[in-house]
Amino acid sequence: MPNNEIIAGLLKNDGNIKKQLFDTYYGKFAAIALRYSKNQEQGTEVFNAAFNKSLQSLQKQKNSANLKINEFLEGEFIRETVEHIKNIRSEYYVASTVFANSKNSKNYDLFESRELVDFNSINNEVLIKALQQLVPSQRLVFNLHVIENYTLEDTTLLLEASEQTVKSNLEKARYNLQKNIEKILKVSQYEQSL
Amino acid sequence: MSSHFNYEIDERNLRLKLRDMALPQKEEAWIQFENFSNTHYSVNKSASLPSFNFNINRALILPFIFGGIIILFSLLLFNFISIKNVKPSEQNKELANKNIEEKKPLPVVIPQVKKETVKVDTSAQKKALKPVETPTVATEIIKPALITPSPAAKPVIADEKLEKWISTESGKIYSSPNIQSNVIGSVNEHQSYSALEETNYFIKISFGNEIGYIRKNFLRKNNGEKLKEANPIPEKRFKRRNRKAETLESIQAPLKTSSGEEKEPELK
Repeated sequence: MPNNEIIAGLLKNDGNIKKQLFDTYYGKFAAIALRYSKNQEQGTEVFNAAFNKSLQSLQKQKNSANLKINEFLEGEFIRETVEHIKNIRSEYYVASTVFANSKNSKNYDLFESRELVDFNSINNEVLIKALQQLVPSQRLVFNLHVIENYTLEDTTLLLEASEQTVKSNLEKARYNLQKNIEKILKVSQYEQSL
Repeated sequence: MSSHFNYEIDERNLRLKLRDMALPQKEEAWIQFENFSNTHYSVNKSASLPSFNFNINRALILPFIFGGIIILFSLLLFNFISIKNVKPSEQNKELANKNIEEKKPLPVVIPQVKKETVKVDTSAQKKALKPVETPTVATEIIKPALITPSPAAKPVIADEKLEKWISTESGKIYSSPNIQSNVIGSVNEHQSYSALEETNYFIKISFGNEIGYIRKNFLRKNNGEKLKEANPIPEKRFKRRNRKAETLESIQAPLKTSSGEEKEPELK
């Protein structure tokens, strides 16, 4: 379908065109929304808000002939997702992602053999779960700089933070992500042993 | 973070995994999105209008507030101090025109010139000469109403009967009835003088071509004695500078006259 017809259909609030765009981009954009949010529910909320705004910004495009809708929608979706997470960031200061271990779960055995984890063979579910356990600021920085491959300057501009803050959050995100992955794997192994 | 931390995640592999990840289609997700987009469709309608994104913060608001305050104060000052150029009103213009008309010079009457030709009867002159025009005679005809005669001062009629005075002592003759004035001559004893005028303390006499004043202290009235007319001696050595200061005549002159009557001093 040509771009003109898509934009004209969006301007008329045509349900069929929306459905077509939804079917085309849902899988990819829902995965993006999921790794930017803390859980599945927030992922759905973020997806709806960001995708709706992306379609609205697509309607405003006048030079639709040379427009690459795929790239445009992806860029707009990531930008809107970041804005959405930034706006609801305050709620995260109440619920931290750090898990409080119970007294029984602590292991004081210094001679316990540390199992090596192959991080390359980790499935996507574990990675998404580990990412969702990060603090929002760290999650945003890691997603933008590492996964979306944004430069530090672009990340700084998008997050409206200083470069030092972004670098600090990035280091913390890397450390916490690795620890989260290890924990998730240990928990899953423990559950399997039971 | 501990210093012994080894970052073992391969970010490139992680990026490839997560970027290629896609969630399976769900009909439930479409329904949710459709409901969401329908509830926010009003925003789409307003999208046709031009959108203005203003960041309203203190950097924008404070200048507006200060600007408003400055404008208010300037308006207040403008009400107190009128800096407008005052233009004359129509009434003032009329008054000004009237004044100009009043200041106009009186109409000048141009004198009528009468030309008269005189013919000579002599036949010889008739042939030789053409009729000669006599010199023009201009007679000014001025309306008497236009000229308002100014009130002229009435001339002082001097007494024809001049009183004779006899000098009892030698004294001085002044140019004006004031002892501060210049001394223009002197008088000797037992000489008679005819007074042109008489003031309280001085008499006016004719002194050669000039007029002089002698104090009455040195004089007494003549009671029929026959004495020679005085010939006052002009003296130039007593010349004094004219002083502009106003002085009381009563200070220089004694209050008592020769007749012994007290008179009130006069201010000059």
